Amino acid sequence: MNWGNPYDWTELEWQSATWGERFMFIDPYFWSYFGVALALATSIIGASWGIFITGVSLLGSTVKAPRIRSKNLISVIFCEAVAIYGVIMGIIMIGKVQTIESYPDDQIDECYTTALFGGYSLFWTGVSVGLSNLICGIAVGVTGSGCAIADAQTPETFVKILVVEIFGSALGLFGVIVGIIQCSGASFLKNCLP
Amino acid sequence: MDLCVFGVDDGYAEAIIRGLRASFLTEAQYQQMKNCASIPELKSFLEETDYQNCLQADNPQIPTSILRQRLKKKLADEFEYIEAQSTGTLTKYLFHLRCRFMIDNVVNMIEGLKNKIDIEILLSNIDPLGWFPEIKNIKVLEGDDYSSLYRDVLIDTPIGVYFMKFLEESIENLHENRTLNDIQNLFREMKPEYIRTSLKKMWLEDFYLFCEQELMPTSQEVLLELLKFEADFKTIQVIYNSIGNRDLNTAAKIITTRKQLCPTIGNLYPDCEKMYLQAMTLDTLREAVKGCDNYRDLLKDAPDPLKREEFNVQTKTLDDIMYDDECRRYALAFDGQGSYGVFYSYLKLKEQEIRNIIWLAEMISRKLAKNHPGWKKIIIPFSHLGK
Repeated sequence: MNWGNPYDWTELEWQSATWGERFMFIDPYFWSYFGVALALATSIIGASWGIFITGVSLLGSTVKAPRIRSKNLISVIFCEAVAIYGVIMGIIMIGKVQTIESYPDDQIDECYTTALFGGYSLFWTGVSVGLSNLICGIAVGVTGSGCAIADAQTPETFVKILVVEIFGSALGLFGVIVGIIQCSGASFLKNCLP
Repeated sequence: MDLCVFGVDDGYAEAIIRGLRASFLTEAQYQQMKNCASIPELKSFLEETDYQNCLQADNPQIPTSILRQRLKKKLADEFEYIEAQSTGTLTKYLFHLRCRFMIDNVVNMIEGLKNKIDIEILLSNIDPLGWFPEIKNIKVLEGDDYSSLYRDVLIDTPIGVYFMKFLEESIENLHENRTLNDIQNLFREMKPEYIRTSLKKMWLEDFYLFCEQELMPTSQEVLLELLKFEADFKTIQVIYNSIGNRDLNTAAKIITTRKQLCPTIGNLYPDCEKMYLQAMTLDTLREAVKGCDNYRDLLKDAPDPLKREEFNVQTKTLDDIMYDDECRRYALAFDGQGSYGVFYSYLKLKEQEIRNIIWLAEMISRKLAKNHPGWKKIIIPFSHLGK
């Protein structure tokens, strides 16, 4: 497996390179930072979407039933938690990224393969965490909006809908747990130390 | 999916309407109202409910017409508030809803002017829900020139489009070599009920089209069902009322009138059209609608229109039966989140509540005995859901 350094490729080598080879030489650091950005940004999109769905309904219901306003902030907090999952995952993932000045000459292929594994692993961790939190945020938001509206009419329903909301909120946690396991194998320098 | 984006524009307005759900009178409150012995007692009872603010300034011995006006004003105020909070499609949609009341108002005004009723009285009697600034422009006529009246209505009011369409249709129906005089006569002789029904039919079709084209899937699902039922209700009403009607003496005339007045939407159209247009008795009407929904069950209890003279306050009329079923549907539509059906249902159910209160007020002011069957003739919104 000797691809050589793509920066040294000649015109002819670039032209004859397959898509797989070109794809291979996307920098592992690009993949890992992209993964971090995805995990954080998509989670926050989910959370803010949820807060907004809950928020409008909460505001509207509060006009006629002011008593629900502080109680139903809990729905907003549940949505907020989704963003926090994204932040936590972002911090964990960024901790996995290690930089190296230069690869030892005789190990360049092994090192690159390890780094590439780390990059892919972080990228797809970002995708799984981000998507699960995006959907979780919307789920909690829609439930929270229902919760606010129902609570304004019949206060007894509040606790019951809250249970549903907690289960919805757990979905994002699943994403986080799997994400932590998923990125645990990522390392950039394992086989490269001289 | 709709729920994710519904809130962008309409979540706030929807939640306000849902908050207003608490203002509906409960069954226990209706029971208390039935026990009121006099109008002042009823008024003081209403002041303890959500209606308190709109009645405070009034004399305890409030006439029912004023009471109705006050209650409607409250509903109109709430609706105006929602309208002010809405944007985009919802604003257009709410305006469409109000058009129905505007049609009523304009037709009432025209009718009043024809009968030379004072314009101040007419203006004080208009439904606040269908109020619009231009309505004041409908003025007393100079002589008998009805065409200028229609011209004013056509140009000035928001519902001018419907009038235009209506007049074009009725002029087209005249014989070939019509003169200006014929048209004048047409305007003079047109029955207000006929104008009202035709305009409402146009409004309903227009509204249906609007819902079909501009609303999101969830709203469509809820609203189109409701509107279909409403159209069927109108159709059945038209057929029912034209059975044994003395003004329509020939069968051909009945059929043409029916064809003009029946909406061209709904579950009954076009499958059953041929049958219901020709239904000349209640039994044939029942037969015509049997394929659709639960209409046959609804018509089962309807009294025979040929014995119209024998109807009295105890008779459960077709309208009562239909309102009852309508209320059930609206209550169900109200409970669906993320659709525009909730605004429509709210308006309809509140109207029903006002009808109930006015009915009870009438019963109370006439001092009818407590075992009189009329007391049972109210339809309580949301009471169907518990069963």
